Amino acid sequence: MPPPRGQLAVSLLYDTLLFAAMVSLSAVLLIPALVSPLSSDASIEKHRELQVDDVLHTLLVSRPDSFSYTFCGSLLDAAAGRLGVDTTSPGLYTAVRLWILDNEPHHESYEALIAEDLVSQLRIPDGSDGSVRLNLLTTDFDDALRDALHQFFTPLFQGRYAYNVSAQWHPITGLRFGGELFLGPPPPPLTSHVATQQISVPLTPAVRIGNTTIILSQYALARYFTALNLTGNRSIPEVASIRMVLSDYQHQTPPYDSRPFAEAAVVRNLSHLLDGFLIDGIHDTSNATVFPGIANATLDALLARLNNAAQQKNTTLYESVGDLVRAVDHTLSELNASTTTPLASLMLGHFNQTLDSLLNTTFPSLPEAIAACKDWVLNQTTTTVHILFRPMLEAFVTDLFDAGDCVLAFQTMLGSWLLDRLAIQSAYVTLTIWPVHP
Amino acid sequence: MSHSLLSDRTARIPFAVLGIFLLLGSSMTCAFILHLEATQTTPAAELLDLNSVSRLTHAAEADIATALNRAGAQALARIGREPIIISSLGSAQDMLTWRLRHALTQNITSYLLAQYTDDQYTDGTYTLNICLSNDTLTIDPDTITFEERTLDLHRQTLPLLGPRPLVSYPSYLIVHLPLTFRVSALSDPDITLRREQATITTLLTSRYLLLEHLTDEFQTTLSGPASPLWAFTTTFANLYSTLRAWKHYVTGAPANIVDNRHLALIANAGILLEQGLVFHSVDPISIITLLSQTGHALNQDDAPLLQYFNQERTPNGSTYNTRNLTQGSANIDAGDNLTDPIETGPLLSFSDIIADILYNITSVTLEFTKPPNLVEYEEVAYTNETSDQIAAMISIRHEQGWTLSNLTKQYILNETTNHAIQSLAASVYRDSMSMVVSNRTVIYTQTNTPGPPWEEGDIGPWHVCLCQPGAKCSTIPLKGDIIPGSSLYQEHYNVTYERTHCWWQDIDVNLSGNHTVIRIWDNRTDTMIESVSLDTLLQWAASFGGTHDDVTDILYENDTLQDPNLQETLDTYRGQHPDSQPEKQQLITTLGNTGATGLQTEIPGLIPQWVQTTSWEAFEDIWDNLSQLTLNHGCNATQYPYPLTLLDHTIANLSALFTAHIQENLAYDRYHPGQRFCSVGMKAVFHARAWLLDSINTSLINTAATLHAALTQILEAAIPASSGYTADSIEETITHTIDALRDKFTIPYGTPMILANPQSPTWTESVLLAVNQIPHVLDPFQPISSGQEQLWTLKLRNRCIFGPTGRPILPLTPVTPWILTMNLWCIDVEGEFLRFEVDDANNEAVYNPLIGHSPQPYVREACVITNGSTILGENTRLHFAYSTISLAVVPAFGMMCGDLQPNWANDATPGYS
Repeated sequence: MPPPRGQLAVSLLYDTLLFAAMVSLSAVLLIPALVSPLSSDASIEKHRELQVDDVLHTLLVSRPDSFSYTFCGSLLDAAAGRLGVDTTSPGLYTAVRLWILDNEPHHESYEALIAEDLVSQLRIPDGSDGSVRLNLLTTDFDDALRDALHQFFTPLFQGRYAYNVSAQWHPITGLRFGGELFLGPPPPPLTSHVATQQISVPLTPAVRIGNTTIILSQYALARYFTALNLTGNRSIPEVASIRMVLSDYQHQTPPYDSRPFAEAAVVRNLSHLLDGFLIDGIHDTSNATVFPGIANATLDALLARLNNAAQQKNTTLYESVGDLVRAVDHTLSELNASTTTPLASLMLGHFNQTLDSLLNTTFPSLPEAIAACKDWVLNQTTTTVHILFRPMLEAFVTDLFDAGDCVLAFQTMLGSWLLDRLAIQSAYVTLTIWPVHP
Repeated sequence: MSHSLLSDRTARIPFAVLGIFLLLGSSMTCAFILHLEATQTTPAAELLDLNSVSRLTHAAEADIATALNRAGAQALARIGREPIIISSLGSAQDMLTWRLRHALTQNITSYLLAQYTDDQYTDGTYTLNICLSNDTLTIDPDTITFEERTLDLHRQTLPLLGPRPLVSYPSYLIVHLPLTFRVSALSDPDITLRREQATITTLLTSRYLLLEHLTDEFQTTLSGPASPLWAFTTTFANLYSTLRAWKHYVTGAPANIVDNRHLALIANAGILLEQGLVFHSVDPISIITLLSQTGHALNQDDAPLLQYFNQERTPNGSTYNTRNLTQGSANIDAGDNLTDPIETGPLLSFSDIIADILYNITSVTLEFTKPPNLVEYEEVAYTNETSDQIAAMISIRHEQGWTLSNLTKQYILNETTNHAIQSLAASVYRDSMSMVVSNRTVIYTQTNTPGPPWEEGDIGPWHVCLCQPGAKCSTIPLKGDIIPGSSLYQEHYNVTYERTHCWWQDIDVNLSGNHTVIRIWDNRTDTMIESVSLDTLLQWAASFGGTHDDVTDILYENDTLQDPNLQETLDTYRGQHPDSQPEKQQLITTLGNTGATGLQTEIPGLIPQWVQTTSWEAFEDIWDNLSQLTLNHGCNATQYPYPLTLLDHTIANLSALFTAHIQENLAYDRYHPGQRFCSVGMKAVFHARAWLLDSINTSLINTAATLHAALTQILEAAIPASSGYTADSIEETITHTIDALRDKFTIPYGTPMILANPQSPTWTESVLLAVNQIPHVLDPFQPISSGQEQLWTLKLRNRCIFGPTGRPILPLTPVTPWILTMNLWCIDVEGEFLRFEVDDANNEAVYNPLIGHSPQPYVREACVITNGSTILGENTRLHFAYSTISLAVVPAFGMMCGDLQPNWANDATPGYS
């Protein structure tokens, strides 16, 4: 019996062709799902995040094979040259130069070297969003360290990643005061991977208040403020005023019953308190210093060696500038009795000149230059602090007033808020890497 | 025709319908997968990295290790400025540990409180704190432990003068600090995620231990007997005293052979050399000050130190010219040019040895001069006390301002030697002769026979009844034919003998009727005459030392040489043996003794006068020849300043020279040109030469042995038993170190040493040190002030043991001179540094914000170290003390050998007590 002849259905041929086209179309529809880069991209991203962490950690715990930098060589040549030493002859001077010029901290890790370089810079704000390196004796430390870091990264990344290293030590958060080290081109905004690690710097500034010596750390200051009862201490005019304003506001007592008026008064007093805390010290009603000011104390700690050295007494001088300088001074002073400390004196003179050029003034002596420098830095700091911290201050005050019991909130929040402005003993090293596409 | 896709009466579902479902399914699947990927990838990317906790912990450990190292370096720098050498509370090592432990505890506690509390140490997600007890961090100092890391220090050095080239020294400290970490999430810091006990271990990068050990080694190097500085001083001082003594021997100046001014420079040069060898570094000012002061001692113009400082140096250090102090100082003190050579000559010479054989000294004349032009002479008869007399005379004269300017000896011929020549000639001028019965013949016999019936009875012996001399004649052979056994003379004799010859017969005799047979005798005398020849034979001639009969034309006078050649001895012999001599008679008259010999007699010959004179001339010829021989170039006091060594080398050298020139000095061919000696006299002269050479050789050997024994005895007697060194150790020291110091030596500095870990080949580093000492040069003539104290940093004493003239070596007798003059100085050295500092100049481990890094110092000076009111101990100065001896040996006479200034017995610097 012959197959029935369909009259309504499409032909089998058309049907098959249509089906085949639809199968192909289905495959095309599935392609996005099959070749989606989302997971691989995420995996690569995660890998790079871990990798940058690992690399940074590896860097910080590694030690360069050999590391050396040159202590201000031209200065020594100048000191010796003034005494008549032939600095180009291969005589004894060559050995003396070798002793002092090549500083070779053996076995030190990159972390230690970075931290030490940051602290040795004595970098201070220049008043225009930049900073000036005050210690020009160790500028080669920066360069040698950059070279060492470059030698570390180059074989590691093999040209497949670009990198940027930044290390910053800013004892007062946000203020370009302390030390900075940058290496590498600026990273692209989107495709880079960043790792940051906190490292400790070799500086433990301490302040003496009355008979108590306090190391400027969050731990010690928190306990000091607790003991001082900072937020309840009515002998401190700013604290007394703030408490009065908050209390009046809380009890709706004029003139501080209105929030804007009260907030403005608190911001004003808190600004004074912050200035005192960070810069020029907190004083009580009898004008006695209850806290000397972070910047003040840190500057004192940084400039202490200079100050001691500037006293020109051998004991303090060589304690400040080191034993080898003493040895070289002894050597050089025997050659010419006109000066007993030629190298140390020249170093101090060098600082004096640096300060002169920085401040555009001439100072008759280094102690005066240091004092002027300190004042200048404090002024710069004050200006910067006011600009930088004003929004934070206002936000903090808003938070205070938003709290139910603003007096209680003041007591609990002020200490930690102030201490959060500090990072005296911590520096941060940031490594940013990004793939390099040929 | 209308078509319907679905209306198919064959009930077949078209593929297209399936395809539509397929499209829908694919679209949904794709959407689902994309959605799923999008929703799953983000959480996956945000998955917590649990390794970050470990990473944070490790980072904290590294950070604390860095801080620990920094604190350790700071503490060691402080300790290095005030190390405790004498502890009040325990051993110095215990105190180091205690101080370091407490400094670390204090420092690290502050650090940990500042960094690892109140959630300050964080990676943004987690926070790590150190576990506190009662809100305070207490670290038990005793939980901090240390271990030493010993490394191998490789140095360039000099044998005996410096340290060993490879020494293992504790160099670094490794510190262990146990801590407990608490890790929590920053978002909820009260919940502890991990509590971990960790021990922070780090290498303190300061090489305090190395500096400490090197400084201790330097202290050891300086002090005590047989220390390197002692070896240096001993060698240098002996070289110095020897050359100055030779200068003094030749010119009488310098008057003070061993001078404390120069000893101070020697001691300082030694200190700097030791400093350079131990530390590979020295105080540069010390070098240039030493060079300057050396120049000053040599009367050179004062040059500024800067000039020395700018002078070029060798790659390894600065060169110090030894000759400046040895030869130069002697020349300058004698008023000569700095670089004039000093003739150190041979200690012994053939000339002296032969002179002692040939001549005797009768007296010594000393010439003294006194400015401006005064000259006086003193003559001292040569006796056993001559040496003392000369010493006393020089001393007295010196006190009066006179200077010994010359010393001459008066000689006479040594009669013993003269007799020896005569005796030797007499031995040679001698021959021996004898007589032999060369022939004996019976020339006549008469027997008286009575005839029969006589019977022969007894026959008596022959006895001489007459000896009649016959012809006598010389039978001496021709020249050249005379040999032992040659007949020189013949004598003939007729000897008549008689004997009794008995005859008998029996006869019958009737006596009284009785017939009786009686025997009757007839005794007769027989006679015999014998002709006897007696020859005089030559036994030997000119015998000496086993040789004989080796003279040409013996027994014939040599007219050319005027040598009788024993010619007269035949006559002498004959004269000694006349015919009447019983022994000769016996020879002649003894029957049957043909060939018998006798009358052997040695006959001295006549010695011509020229033999004696020629022998002396030969002696002088030998004297000249041997005196012209020069010892090896290096066989002098400069090369071997130690007398015994010089003596041994001199003797060996002389012996070798002597042996090499024996044949030449024997001149055998001159006396024995062909087969024989020219004459007996020539043989005698030859043997005189041989005798002299033998005497010289014997004298050389005996002199060497006796000198060696005498010098050794004197040295051993001079060195105290408690000194810690012996004559042998001095000899060994000088022998092994002289090459390094003879002309110049290099004081190394500014060169790195190699420090390597034997367990880890990759751990190799260099050590470059800087040294700073106060005073830069230790001055025995000027104290330095230290607070209330007047400090003499160098104290010297030298004692000239044998006084201004030294001590003669070998017994002094009226006829034999002494061979050598020796003197000996006992040198005592004490010193200390007001301050001595070593800085580790290429491992600046101590962080200094102003200059970056500063070196680890290690300072030795006198100070008391306290902790509050508790005295922990004291730091002490580097000090040293040692004694040694310096020798000088010169030939006899000359200007003698000794210090002439009044305090020669105890020449001490002001600070010496």
